[in-house]
Amino acid sequence: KTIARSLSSLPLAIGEFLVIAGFSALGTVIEQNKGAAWYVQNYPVDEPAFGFIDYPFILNFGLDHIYTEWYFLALLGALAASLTACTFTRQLPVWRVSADWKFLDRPATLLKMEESETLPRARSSDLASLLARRGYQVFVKGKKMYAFKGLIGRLAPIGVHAGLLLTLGGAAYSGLGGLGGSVMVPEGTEFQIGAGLRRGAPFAPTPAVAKDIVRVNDFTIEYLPNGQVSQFFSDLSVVDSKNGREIQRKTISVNVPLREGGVTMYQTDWEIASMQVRVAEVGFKTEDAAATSQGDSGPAPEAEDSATSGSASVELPEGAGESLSLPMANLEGKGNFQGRIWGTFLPLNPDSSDPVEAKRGVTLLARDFQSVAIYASDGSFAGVRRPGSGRPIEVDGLRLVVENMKGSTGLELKTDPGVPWVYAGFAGLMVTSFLSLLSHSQVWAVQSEGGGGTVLHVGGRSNRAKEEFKSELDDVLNQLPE
Amino acid sequence: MLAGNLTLASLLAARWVESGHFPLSNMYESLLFLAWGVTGVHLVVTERDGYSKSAVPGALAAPTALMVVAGATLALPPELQRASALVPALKSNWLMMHVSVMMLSYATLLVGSLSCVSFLLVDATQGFEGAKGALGFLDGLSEGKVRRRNRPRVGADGTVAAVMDAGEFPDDASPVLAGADLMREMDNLAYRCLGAGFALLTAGLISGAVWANEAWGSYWSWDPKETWALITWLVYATYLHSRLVAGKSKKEVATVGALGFVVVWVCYVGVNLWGVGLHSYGWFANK
Repeated sequence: KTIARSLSSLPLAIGEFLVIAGFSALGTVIEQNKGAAWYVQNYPVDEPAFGFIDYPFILNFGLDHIYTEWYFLALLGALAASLTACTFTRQLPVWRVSADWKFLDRPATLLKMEESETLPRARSSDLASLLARRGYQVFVKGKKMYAFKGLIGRLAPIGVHAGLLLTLGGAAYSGLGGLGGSVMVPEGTEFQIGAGLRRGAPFAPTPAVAKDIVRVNDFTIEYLPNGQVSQFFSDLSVVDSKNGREIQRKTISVNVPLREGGVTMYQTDWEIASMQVRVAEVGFKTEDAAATSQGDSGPAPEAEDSATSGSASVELPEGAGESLSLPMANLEGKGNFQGRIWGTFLPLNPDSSDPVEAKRGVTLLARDFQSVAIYASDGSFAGVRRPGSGRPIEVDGLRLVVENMKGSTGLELKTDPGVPWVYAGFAGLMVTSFLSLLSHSQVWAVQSEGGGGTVLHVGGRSNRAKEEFKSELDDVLNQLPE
Repeated sequence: MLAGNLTLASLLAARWVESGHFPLSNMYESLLFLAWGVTGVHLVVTERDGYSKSAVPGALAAPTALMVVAGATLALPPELQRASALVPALKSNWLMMHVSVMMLSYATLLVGSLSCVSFLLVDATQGFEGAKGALGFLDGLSEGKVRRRNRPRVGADGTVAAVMDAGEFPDDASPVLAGADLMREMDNLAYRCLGAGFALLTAGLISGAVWANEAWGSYWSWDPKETWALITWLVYATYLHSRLVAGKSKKEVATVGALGFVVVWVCYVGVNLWGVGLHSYGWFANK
């Protein structure tokens, strides 16, 4: 009993709020989950932040993953314990006390209240009906009257605590029983659902659907006219691993996930996976190309000038040249590359015995599916092409057409048994936190004789809306006929 | 205040029509929405019967709204002020619900915290006669509603303290609200405002969490913005609980509330300026 009493102490609760707030804030100032090397680089021992925060300090105290460290979780547990203790030792008794209504019969008691007044020649029955019209529940017994409204405002905080406990409990259940992971899947390929559920507690249950396969039929990015991304779409099929039958097919996008068998799949990331190009050596001529170039009065097109050359005369005939599929590498953060960018390399003489010559080639870079930048083997910029435009570029003695780029879709998979509980807690919190704004107002009145006639003593109070109550009572008393 | 509120409302409506989406997608729009919210909350709390008639809250709320609009118009680079298309993550019906509730909660909490500041200011000036005069002057400027009595003051034994006829009772509420009365009003105003703001903040946090779960599969990822919203929530929970602790003076409680003003700004703007996390839409270029 005494443990419960001390756990429900208000100063303790306030202390818990502030310590949790403090550690949470620390976690926003010190970037979390970055990997030890990052902290070594940014918090060096010879120049510690504030004189003492260097990477050993951070890593030893777990400040790189505060929110999953034992002391933080213990703090949350303490808060939950305080919430529980408070609900039982303080709040539920309040319920019993405030639900009891009782008459008061001594004018002196009434006149000591926050709002009190004595009115000559007034009647409690008039007061009763005025209050009833304003939503009070009124009880009259002889010369005594008691009225109240807004009792729910005193009880709602209990609901707030209960809602918080549900939420915290559900979150714990999520942490212990949930599985998750992410996959990056090139379009046209498939993956097993279980491969995306590798992260989680060892005893968390694996859903039956983990055995099944998801096929990525297509991945598309929709762009706005100004080049900005409008939306990401992945066309997915969930296939039964036992018989190959398609269980579900859905095109997901950001904010529109796919749900199957307790697993939810979200569109969260993407990559450029490969580029399809058609390459031919310059000098490759068809009859058409030869005929038109003879009639061409302009200067002969050169590799560096390909961006402005008359493309009609160097059109690469359909099917000519070699079709290659080049895998693209993620170059973000490497060297001087800023932002998301992928690149691929087309070697000119890969079979050469000279090691330097073997590494000479054309570089192709792309930031998105809209355009590709091509660079010659000497590093000079050759031009930009739009995939699928069919327009060739001449570089390093090659005539190259960028035909297509294939993407990979980045999906986040999750199972989360705690969600229903957390959502239930949320719903409770939403309702009760607003109900807690209601003020519990109480009015007592006693009719007595004095001063040559009947006199009405009125006393009242409200727990939250004190000014509003004063005003309301003023109005009511103004309307009281005398 | 009313003129400011209506102008901001029409500006936001115009942006809505022009861009085709709810005007809360970048820092500029949210700052204007906040200014509209602050002026709106101020109007609501001062027009409602029983709430403060003093000019002091307005003396703090109006400059705040002004600074917000000034910051949005003068400090933000023009590219960020232009209405632009929504990024995929924002293409959801939750946008209207979550962001507007959060902005309204910030507005309400800011006005409530400013009331705490008013309390502390009045408290600090109690020793100065000149301050009382200034407050009286400010109150004279505001056309506050005055509570009227139509009944005589009567002693407990029924004797009438002042003999008057029914039609001749003077207006009871004194126009010069200074000292203890004003402080009590500020304290109550702060309590009601911060209570409402807290409920709105709770709703904002919850709607954000549900949206995050639908979009990214996680209702809580300790993202800096989420974390600071939680910190704001904890600070105001401290305020509300401090009021119940026996022995805590009103001044200490008001200090907590006043500090909340800073916390709201860190949560709203500070986090975005750092440019990290899932909420970095507005300032530094995001990847």
